[in-house]
Amino acid sequence: MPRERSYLRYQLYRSLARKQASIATALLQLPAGQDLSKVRFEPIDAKALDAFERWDDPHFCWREIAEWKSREPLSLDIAIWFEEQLCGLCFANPNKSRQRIRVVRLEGRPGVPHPLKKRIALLSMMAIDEFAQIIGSKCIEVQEPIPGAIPVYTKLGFKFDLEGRLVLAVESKVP
Amino acid sequence: MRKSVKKSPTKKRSIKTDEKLISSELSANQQRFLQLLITGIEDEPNVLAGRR
Repeated sequence: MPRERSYLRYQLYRSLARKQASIATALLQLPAGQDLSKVRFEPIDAKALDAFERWDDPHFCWREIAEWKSREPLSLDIAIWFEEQLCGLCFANPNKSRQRIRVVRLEGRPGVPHPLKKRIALLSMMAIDEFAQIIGSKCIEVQEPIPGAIPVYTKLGFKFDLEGRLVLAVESKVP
Repeated sequence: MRKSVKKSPTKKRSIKTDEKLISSELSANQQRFLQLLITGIEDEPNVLAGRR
């Protein structure tokens, strides 16, 4: 088990990854009427879980994440907000060597249309890729992709490796 | 005379690392993600990964 100091360090890394994803997203110039500067990357906290309760027929019970977070101190949890609307939730966890970070759960808000529809996987990967670079992971793996979502991951650059795992190599930053 | 307290090398490294982390540079993956963000990805299902 990592020492207490590691827990604090990972808390900082999570925060940096979300912040960096937020900055990069906000700077993106979009056609008139669209504004990603209102996107926020936050932890899955009490406020997110409260907003989640108002989702219409969600696939997962995200309340479990509170327990997962305490059990997996190196994990990354992301609540994707557009202003005050919770649009997506994601939980990713590095393996022991930290060489691989696995996307364990990813879900966009079901039911009513939301402003970040078509962009939940992309926004999640912005933060996960940042986190992966910070902790020195070599690849991102989608642990159990939903079959209907495979084309989405393919567009993101994921490929099936020889062992049938859906993976994306983590690349370093380019100036 | 009191001994002066020096900052540990670990602490110094940590600050430098933090500065490096907050960077405006993007990886090739992130640049691709940002390009795709402009239009989004059609037919993105609500549930993308995980097992119930």
